[in-house]
Amino acid sequence: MQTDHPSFRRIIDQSLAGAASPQQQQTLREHLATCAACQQYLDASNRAIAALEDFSFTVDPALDSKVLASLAERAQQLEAARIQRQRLGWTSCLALLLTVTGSVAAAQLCSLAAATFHLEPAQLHLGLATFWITPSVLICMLLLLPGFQAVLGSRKGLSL
Amino acid sequence: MTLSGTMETDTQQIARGLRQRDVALLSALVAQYQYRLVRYLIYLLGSRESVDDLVQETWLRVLERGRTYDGRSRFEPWLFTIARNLAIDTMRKRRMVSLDANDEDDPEHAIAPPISPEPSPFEQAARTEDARHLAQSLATLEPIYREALVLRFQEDLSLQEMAGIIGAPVSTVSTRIYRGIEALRAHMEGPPHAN
Repeated sequence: MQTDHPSFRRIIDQSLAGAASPQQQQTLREHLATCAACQQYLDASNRAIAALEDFSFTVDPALDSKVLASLAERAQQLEAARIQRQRLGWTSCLALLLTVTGSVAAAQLCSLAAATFHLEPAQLHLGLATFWITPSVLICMLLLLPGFQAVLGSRKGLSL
Repeated sequence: MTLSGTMETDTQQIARGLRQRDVALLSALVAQYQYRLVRYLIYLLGSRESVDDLVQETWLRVLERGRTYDGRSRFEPWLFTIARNLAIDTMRKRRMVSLDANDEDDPEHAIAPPISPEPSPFEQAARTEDARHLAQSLATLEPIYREALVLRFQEDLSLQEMAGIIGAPVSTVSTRIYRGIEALRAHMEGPPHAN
């Protein structure tokens, strides 16, 4: 059991900080009942802590309205950015769908053209895939990337 | 049971509102926490300068990052963590941060105390004789100790919550509280004396 004043003062500090165990607090209570010096130490500490309540900071009355105005503006921007992202997503999906449909149709036309003009179908299909299908699909995929959407958004002042 | 159940519901409501970016909820939170946020930042910075800007920035961050608050813990520690990070970032940008360690046990970057000829915000805010005594001590106290005092005795946060905000072990937080109390007590008892 700790009997010296420094040890008890340490327990007082721990108790004030909320770090003392119930057993330590009980030991401290027993000690304080018989030790005026440690009781004085505790009283001085409590007085200092209580004095912290005696500060009243002023808050600029306009601050609340400024904060609320900026929150409303930012919320609108974020909502607009969300709608923009959603639109981009749908646009990309639509573009992908059109690309697939268009590519199928173009492939059919290539086959028809190859038969009509006696051309090599494989070469036409290769050209179609290289210059039409691949770039179109890549553009659609690019639009779906979140990073690219963020860049587009930031150009409109809607970055997250 | 009822009290903890109510608190849980409140925090979950806040979390839901933040996920939905509910401006009405944010307005209520601003009304409820504005003074405490201002007070925390004053204790942290030891100055009124930048506090209003940081308050505004903190609430914007709450709006933007609201989805990261899960509602399982109290709202205050989460709010103060945001404010603290912003304050440190701002001070770093202004090159007002002391990169020296202030705590032997836990070296950490700290905010340099401001040097100003004007009365400190504590002197301006003191309402009683005891508070006026303390104001000088608070103005010269290291920010990490002031922060520990305001979080423990004004905000009534637990050591674990404080550790979460400060990003330090509970033992470090306790040490900061002891040292903070020690500095205040010394000032209340009379002229500061060396240990």
